[in-house]
Amino acid sequence: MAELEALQESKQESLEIGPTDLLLAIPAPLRSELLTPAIQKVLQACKLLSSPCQVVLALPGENTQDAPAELALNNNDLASQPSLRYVNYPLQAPVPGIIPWLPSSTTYRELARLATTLQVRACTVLGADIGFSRDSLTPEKLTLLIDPGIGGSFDLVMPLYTSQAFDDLVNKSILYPLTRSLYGHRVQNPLGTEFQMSSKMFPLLTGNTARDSSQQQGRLPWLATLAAGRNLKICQAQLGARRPSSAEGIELSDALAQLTGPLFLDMEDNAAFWQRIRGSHDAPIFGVASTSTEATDTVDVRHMVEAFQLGERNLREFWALILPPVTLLELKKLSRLSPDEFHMPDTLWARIIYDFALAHRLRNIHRTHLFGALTPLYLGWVASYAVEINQSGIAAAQQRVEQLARTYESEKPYLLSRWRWPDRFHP
Amino acid sequence: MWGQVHQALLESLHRAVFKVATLLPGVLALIVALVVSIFIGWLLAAILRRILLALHFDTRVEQSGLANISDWSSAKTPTFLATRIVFWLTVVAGLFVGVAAFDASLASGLSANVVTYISKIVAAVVLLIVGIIVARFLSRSVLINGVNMNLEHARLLSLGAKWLVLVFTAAMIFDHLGIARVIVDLGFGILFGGIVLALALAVGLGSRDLVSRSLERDRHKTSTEEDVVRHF
Repeated sequence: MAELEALQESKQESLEIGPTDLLLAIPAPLRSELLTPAIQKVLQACKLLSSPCQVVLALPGENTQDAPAELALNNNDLASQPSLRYVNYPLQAPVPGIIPWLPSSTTYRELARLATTLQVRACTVLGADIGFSRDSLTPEKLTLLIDPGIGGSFDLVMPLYTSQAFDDLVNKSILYPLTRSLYGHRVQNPLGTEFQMSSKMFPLLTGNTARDSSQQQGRLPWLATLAAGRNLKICQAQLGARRPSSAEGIELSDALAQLTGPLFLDMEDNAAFWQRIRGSHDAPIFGVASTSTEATDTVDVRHMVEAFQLGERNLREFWALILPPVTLLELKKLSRLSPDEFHMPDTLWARIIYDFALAHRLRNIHRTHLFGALTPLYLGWVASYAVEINQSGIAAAQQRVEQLARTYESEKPYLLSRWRWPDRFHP
Repeated sequence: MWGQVHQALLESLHRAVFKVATLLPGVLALIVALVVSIFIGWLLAAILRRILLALHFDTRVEQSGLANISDWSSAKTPTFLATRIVFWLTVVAGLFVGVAAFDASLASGLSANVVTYISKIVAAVVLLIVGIIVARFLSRSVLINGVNMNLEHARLLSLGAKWLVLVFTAAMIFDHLGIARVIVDLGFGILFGGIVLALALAVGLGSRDLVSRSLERDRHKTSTEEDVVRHF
């Protein structure tokens, strides 16, 4: 068994590590039987890089000099990294009620600080499931994630997954189209938890600037919007399929608040930037997506339609504080449709999200109540989406999402008008 | 004899006139104090009205959920209510100053009691405002969470939560002001316990089938949709 050399981080002395190109981090504690195959996969990917690079592993744990005894790597594994080094960083304990796979802003800040101290060219963060459930994440695909940043061409590499029609619906309905409309980049997973960032991104996360430090406190940073706001280069890497994350114990309204709330806060901070953006352009994609022609599953939308109708009956007075009269009228008409005929127009949905973003800024109602009031509307959108693409192919589902994203862009003037003149009467 | 009666009457008349003459400066001081306090009250009310209008006080109160206060009083807007309160408080203060011109000891004793009670009234008003805010927040939370849990009678639960808090707040205020303490304590206990019991019976017995249907629907939804629909 090869011995690993531990790095001791010192604030007074520079680290005696020699030139290091890449910091690879796994932001979750892995059991020993999972850690080794994960590192093996990473090392195989390093062999395939276009140019050799020195790698440092960042593993969560206490700051010790002891090598993890469970890490069993042989000389073949270490062929490309004979002097593989590792370093520990503190990992925040998971908080009950918070989405478990969503790293905290503290974790990202620690990694960026560590990367700055080590003076690496790039930092790659991998998902905790890299070792065991991601057979589709081959070393070749890992190379697609690592290479663009190491080569110096791109500052941020975001993941692109092959997802089923009913996977990741919050991202498809809100996060992706909204960030695309605001920032002009077609990054399909703007909140991706596997990514690579170049050294230009490190100061944005460590809060070296006075403006950023107050904003990043406690808030999950949106890397894609951070990079877009500074005109950094963004690309995407095809990483294949990914096992859906566990949602047990997380209420939908809480999940909406945790995923969408930081994006709405970013809108307030970057208002001067996104108001100038018109249209969008593709973020280059590395790798080839696997295509599937099988039909999507069929979803029974009755419960979601009933949830929407219950929300329309009981939450109308809250919606009236957020949405204009025309939207309320549309929602009232929608609540009278049967499940088979249920269809929420894209224009209506886009305007609803824009109005909720504005209400988040104006604090018309408490922010916790805001996302609770959004939940029945979101279920209505999901029901409408399911009615349209039930038993269609995945390609049809992807086209549907693209159509929604284009509608968000076309409705951006509505957002601009409401954002700049919120007191003006809007029917 | 008639001379003596005449003399006695003249003396009593003289004493009465003297008494009135002694009181006249006090009465004059009271009238002056009242007039001055009315003028100062009017001035303060006008200044306060300008300030509150500039701050959009009515809109802020409405958004914060305190608009019900203006519904209870005869005032049309919160701004009007605030200015009237300031005006009449100033007039009352002027009245006390005028009363002090009659009898200082009487006025000081009265003023001490009134000042103590006014501080209690201020605390009671603060309690009322806090109680209304908490009641509205809780009722909204219960309503929204009830709707998201697919409970048909979420609105009823929300109303119950709101009135529980308001009744509790009213009892606290009356207790603080020392108004009919025994009756309020007893009445509050009966009312509060009655509301809680009624809600428990409504949910436990009266809505038993409804709750079980809601939970059954939720369980059925969970088992069939969870395998296919993944929100994140």
